[in-house]
Amino acid sequence: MRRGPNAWIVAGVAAAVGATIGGATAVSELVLQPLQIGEMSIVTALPSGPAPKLVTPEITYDFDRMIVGEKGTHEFAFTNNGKATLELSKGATSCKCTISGLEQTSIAPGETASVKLEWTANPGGPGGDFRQTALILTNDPLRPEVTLTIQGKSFAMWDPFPSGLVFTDLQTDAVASATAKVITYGARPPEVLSVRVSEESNVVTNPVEQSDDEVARAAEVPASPYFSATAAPLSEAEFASVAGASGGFLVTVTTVPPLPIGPRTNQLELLFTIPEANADTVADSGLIPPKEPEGGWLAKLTVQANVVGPLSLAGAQWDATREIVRMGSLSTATGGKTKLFLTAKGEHRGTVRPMVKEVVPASMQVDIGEPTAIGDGVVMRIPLSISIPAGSPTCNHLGSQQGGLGRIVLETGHPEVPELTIPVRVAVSP
Amino acid sequence: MVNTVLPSPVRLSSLLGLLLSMMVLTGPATADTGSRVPDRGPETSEAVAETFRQKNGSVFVGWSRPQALLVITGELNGYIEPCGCTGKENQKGGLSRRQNLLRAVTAAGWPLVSVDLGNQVRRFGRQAEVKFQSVADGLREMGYAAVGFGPEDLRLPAEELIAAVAAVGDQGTPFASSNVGLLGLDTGLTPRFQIVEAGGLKIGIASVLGDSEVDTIRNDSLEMIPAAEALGEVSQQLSAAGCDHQVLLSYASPEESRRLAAAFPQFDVVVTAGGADEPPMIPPQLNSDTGVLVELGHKGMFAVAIGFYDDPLAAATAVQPPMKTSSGRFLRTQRVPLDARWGESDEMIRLLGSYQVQLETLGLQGLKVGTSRHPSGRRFAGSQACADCHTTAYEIWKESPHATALTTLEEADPQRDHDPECLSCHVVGWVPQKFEPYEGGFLSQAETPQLAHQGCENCHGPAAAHAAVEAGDVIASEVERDRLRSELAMTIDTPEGRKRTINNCLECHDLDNSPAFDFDDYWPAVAHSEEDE
Repeated sequence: MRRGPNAWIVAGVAAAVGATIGGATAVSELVLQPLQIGEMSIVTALPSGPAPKLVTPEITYDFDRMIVGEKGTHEFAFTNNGKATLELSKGATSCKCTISGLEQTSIAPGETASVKLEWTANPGGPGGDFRQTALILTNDPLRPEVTLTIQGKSFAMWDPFPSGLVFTDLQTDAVASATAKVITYGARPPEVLSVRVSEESNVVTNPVEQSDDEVARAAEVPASPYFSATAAPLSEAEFASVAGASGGFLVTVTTVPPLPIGPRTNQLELLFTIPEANADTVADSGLIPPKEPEGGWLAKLTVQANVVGPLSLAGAQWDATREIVRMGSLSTATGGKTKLFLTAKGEHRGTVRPMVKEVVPASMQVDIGEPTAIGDGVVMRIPLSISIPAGSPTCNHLGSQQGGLGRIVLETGHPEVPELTIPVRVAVSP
Repeated sequence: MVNTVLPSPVRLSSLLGLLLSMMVLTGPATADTGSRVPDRGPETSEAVAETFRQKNGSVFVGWSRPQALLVITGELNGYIEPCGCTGKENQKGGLSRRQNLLRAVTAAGWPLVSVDLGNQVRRFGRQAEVKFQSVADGLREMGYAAVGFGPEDLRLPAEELIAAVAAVGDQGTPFASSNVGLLGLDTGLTPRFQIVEAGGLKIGIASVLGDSEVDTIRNDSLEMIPAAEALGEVSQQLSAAGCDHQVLLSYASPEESRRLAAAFPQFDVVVTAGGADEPPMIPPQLNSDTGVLVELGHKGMFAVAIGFYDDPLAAATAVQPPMKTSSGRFLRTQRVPLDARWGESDEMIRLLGSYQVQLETLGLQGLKVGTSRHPSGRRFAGSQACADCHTTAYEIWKESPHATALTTLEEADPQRDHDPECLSCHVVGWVPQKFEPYEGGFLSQAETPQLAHQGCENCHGPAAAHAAVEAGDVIASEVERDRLRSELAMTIDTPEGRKRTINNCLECHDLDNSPAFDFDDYWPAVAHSEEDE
């Protein structure tokens, strides 16, 4: 084994070279300085020559509250308590914040300059927490980067939570409700003039056709037959915790069955007043201005739903797009298994007691577990454990020319869907 | 109190020379202080790294190797990659850069635990389902230890969620929720917590959806219980498992997360949803003086890294004392902007390409993209129909980037010309912020080539009736003809007209996609007037 160089020789050479470099290099003139931080002291290496020393009494400014779209400015003081000139330059700023006051980029020892930040509070968006930063680069060896922060809360003249309503996996006969709370910041509580769900969007069919009767189509979009909506004012206790709020209302959207199977997108239209609100500010927060002087502001929230049949399948290897179980290529030596869940919704969910009627390939085994109610019992789930045991004969059911898809046929017990065929893509090779 | 103060300044020139020389002779130091820090992607040059240090700040300066590093992401909100007219390099975020950050940490030899708060998508519908699946695949590939659920995730159909997140065979799942069960809390499709070991530390991770968020979800296939009730059970299990540290992913408002942190002080790190677009430079401490409350900002633009140290000096920074934990260990934090210093990862670019192929395969019908009627009730004609009369204005438009807007999507890598979220601002006749066409809007290059690119009617309004009347295809009275003309007229010479025009621009030139947009700067590139025609 080859031996490395003797450590003492290395140290000796190093000392000689080190002494040379140490004598010749200004940067090697170091001072170890303690830096006090709270209860901690850390030791930091510093050049001992004249150096600038930046002192900033504040690096974060909290404006407390601003109206959405309002502009603000703040000046941060930068003092040089060092012995060399302090140089400043701009780094990046957040997109809603700009550095405007960095005319002075050199600060002599003992001098103070200011860096001015300008920002616009959440323009065009809803209110909420606001924080934006600006990076200032310096030649202070201890603080080469200083990040200035502007933060606070901005508020629009209205604030919905949530900002849209979604009904997931509804049954055609479901009567389901969802709510949104709308908070307003006018001089007095809002007055709701009207609330409805409009029938606005539907799935692409053949929208290429050009109509000769376009002007007639400008008629108002009708109300949706599938949703009803109501609004009730919030009590003071219900908005008391929201700073600056003067009132609000709770909107409840309820489905009106029978619902057609498939996706739906509708608009919840809310017409309400915001007493003594600044019109420009309200318009900037996404509301449509009143058509009449005494009219209210119009807000639109999206209402989405997907309506499904009474039986659904789910599982890690269930491909919902192709509606197929993907067990893939298995080895006869090991076999394979997967687990599905059959879910039943609607008024007949309690009648679903699946039994296996047929399986392809014949070696496939399906064990059906006990139905269990989920949550408040609107959905029943039934586990299906599917396996191809080790030692099963080879087969090809990948859905290719060499072999059609496998399948599991269940008798469900559901009066409307008495039989359910589940395609299975599987092959077993030696 | 720790106090390391040397009695007087000590000159160390010779000693430094000695150290420098030894470094030359023995190569870079590899001691526990760390030979390098994860400050850029694996193929990023020093020049690029320096550019973004000066733009968005340095990262991991003065860090020594932590016992373990927790990298926290979340609230992706559908922004799987940064996008925008002004160039990706000017924006932050995206899965690709995120993977390279994690790679850099691993390459530096720092024991890594990566966790994600959740809320991968921000919309409902088929595209959101496909996107959620893609992000879930990406998070698995990146080796995430724990991933929570956000409310937008949980509004997706259960069968889609399960297909994306459930364990397959012997492969576990990083997804976990302590208080939300897919098809029930007892199915085992996703665990209620995760425990991971890194750098000799056992870290337990719980994940909850806040009660106020639970109230907004109408998905009967989920079983949801109050967050505090779930944490009462789960935190005991984590303690019983001997975890050195407990981490809570709390998809709730900062106020609600603070309440949970106060009720369960055993969590040293509480990650919260909400808050501002940007996370704070230094997260605030919890429970008086132990633990931290971590905000992530929105749209996945930042990651937050937390190092675990035994040595308080190693966890101290020039502006922040070390943060204590309930176990006596110390924390150091770093806000990490996911900018171009991290470069692109081939794996994530492939994943994004596969996502775009799925969108193309499904098409608008397969994606179940809805349509809405234009407020005017009118139909679109296409920009070419304007050219016969408005010759000069058309020529100005033809020379502008608007006239090749769709081409930029077709030539992007990966192509994005079948992505409704991109198309909406690159073709005629879509609702920009709803990502769906108006009736009669662009469908595809094959079906509606006349509506390709960002054309005249997106500002002026649908012009099919006006064009038909002017061409003599439809007979109309003079009054009707003038009315159709006036409906399409715009002005920036009045305050109302200027505001209407700017608001129209902002539908696409918004802060996400065009942060540098300023109407007065941009208008000259497309300026045209009635006199031009």
